[in-house]
Amino acid sequence: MLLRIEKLNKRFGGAAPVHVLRDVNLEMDQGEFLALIGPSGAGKTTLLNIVSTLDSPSDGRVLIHGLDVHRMDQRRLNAFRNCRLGFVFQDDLLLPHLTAMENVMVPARISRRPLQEAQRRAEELLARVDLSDRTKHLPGQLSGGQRQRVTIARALVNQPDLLLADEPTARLDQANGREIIKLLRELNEQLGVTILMVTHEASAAEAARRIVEFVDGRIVSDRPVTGGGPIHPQPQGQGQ
Amino acid sequence: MPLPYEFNLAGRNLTRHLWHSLAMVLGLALAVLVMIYVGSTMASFYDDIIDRAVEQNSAHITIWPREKPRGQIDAALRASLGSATVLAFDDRTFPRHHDLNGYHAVAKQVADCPGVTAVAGFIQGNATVSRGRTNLGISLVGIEPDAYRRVVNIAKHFPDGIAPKLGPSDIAIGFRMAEKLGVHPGEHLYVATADVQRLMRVKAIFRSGYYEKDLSEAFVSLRTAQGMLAMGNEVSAIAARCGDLQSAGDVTVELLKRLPFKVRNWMDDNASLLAEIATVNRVTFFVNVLVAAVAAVGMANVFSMFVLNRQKELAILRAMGASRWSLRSILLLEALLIWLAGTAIGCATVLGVMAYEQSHPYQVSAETYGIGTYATQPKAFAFMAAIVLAAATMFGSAWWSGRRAAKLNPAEVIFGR
Repeated sequence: MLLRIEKLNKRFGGAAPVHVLRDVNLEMDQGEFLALIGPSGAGKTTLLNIVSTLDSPSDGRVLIHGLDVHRMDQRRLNAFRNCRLGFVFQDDLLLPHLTAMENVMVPARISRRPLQEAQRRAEELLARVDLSDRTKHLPGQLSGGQRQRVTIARALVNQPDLLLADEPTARLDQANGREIIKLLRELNEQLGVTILMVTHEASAAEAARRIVEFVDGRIVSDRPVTGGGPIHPQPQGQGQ
Repeated sequence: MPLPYEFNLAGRNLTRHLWHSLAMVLGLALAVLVMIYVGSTMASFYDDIIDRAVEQNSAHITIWPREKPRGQIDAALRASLGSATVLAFDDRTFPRHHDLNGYHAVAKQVADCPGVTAVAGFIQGNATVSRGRTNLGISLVGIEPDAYRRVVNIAKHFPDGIAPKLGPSDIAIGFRMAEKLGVHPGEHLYVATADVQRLMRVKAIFRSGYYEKDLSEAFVSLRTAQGMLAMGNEVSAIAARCGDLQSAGDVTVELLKRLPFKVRNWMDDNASLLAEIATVNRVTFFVNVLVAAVAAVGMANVFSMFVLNRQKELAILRAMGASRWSLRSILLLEALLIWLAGTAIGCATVLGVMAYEQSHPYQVSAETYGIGTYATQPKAFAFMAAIVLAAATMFGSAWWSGRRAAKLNPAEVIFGR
């Protein structure tokens, strides 16, 4: 089991708190490609932020490889984020003053990998996302789709256990969006990258192997994209 | 060995925001320039005035005979001369009865005091000079030029920087006195004391930088002065030089312990001048503090804005696992680069300005300040203070901004929640 989410709750605000996540339970295996779908405000991004350790739960646990990620001290958490998790955000969020190659190398450099190794790995990944001829380009010189592909390459440079993608096609046109989803699917199938993707686009979600639907902070369905029945049935009282 | 990625990011951040970076560098350079220039200017001004007032015109320390109560003098005179002649001889014979008699022994005691590097006896008395129908009251100073110039750097007053050897009939006078009398070197004038009148040759004309001195002081040889002022083999006082000008106070205390004489140092003799300089220095210090404070607040603001505009980038780095220390390091490295560039430009510019001043010194009022021209000299302490203050400003700003950046919640910044 790669990811286990147990009775996760998240509330925002003080006097009149907004309950964004309610007793969420979810499990993911290594190599899965899971799409979280649901209407705006359903809590999908909040869940992703908590899994990515960028936010903390009000209560409940997130275990990755059995480690409760919200109980780690800051130093271990930094290392964990850097090496075990990869991020693809809605916006490409590249560092604008670094070239595509340098952007991809950043997580490897943060983990103090040797420069040559980081370069080699970045070159491989840029080739994998079909950007070998754009390695020295700055983000401003790349199209939206190319920038998002650089982001994906950057997310994979440290060979993370889990790739977290938050609406990766939201800012892209249809053609580029399709390309990105296709790329994610290929990475999952060919490299075995485990992906947890938040999307509100049905077509993007269909590319995943499993779709979990969120409504009002709860999981209302959990089903495989092909074949019948949910892969991981929800506990009683949830997801109904 | 490749540098940590923080260096790369810091350098790239600065080059990407080139105008912003240049504005910070130039702002810092300007602050450094002003702090160094103001500090050096005042220190140079102080040094020049002290050099003129102390090194060239008076001794570090002067040992004078005590002023005896009149009754004592009368008793001494009465014993040797008889009561009937006391009043008639009092003023003229006083020097011969003061307690510096046998000054060579006293001079040796002074020279043996730790901190004293040179001593010389001198005579000071009143006289008149006349040429044609012009008469002037003057202060006649008798010196042994070779010994006296080791104590007071009078050589600087003379053309070519050489103190003249004074023969029995030679006199050196100030340039204003020469102008009043209309004499030139080689010409003659009359010098009269209470005892004698002599025709003397003007051996040299000096410029001390002091109006009064240039108008009413004249040097003759010690032997000549002793003769003209009826001093026998004695002197009016003993001048002493210290190894370190600033140690004159301590040496004075030591001499007072060892000798039963009046001991005054250059600080006593120039108390009002030093008080004025101290006031000016306080104002200058206040101005410098204001410059530093304005620069510090300005730089801190600009730098924090610089960081604020990049919150998202810093949040991305945090999301990718960069530690808080790593973010701080990036900002500190940026501060380091700005500091290096800003102080280098500031120091180079101020050195250029000072070099220009050396070749084109300002004219200042000699009557007021005792110095005719003035140029700022680079002062190490002013450079050090400005560099350290600039460093404190930049690194303080970076540290403070870094603390704020380290506290960023990446999710809040990235997702705008």
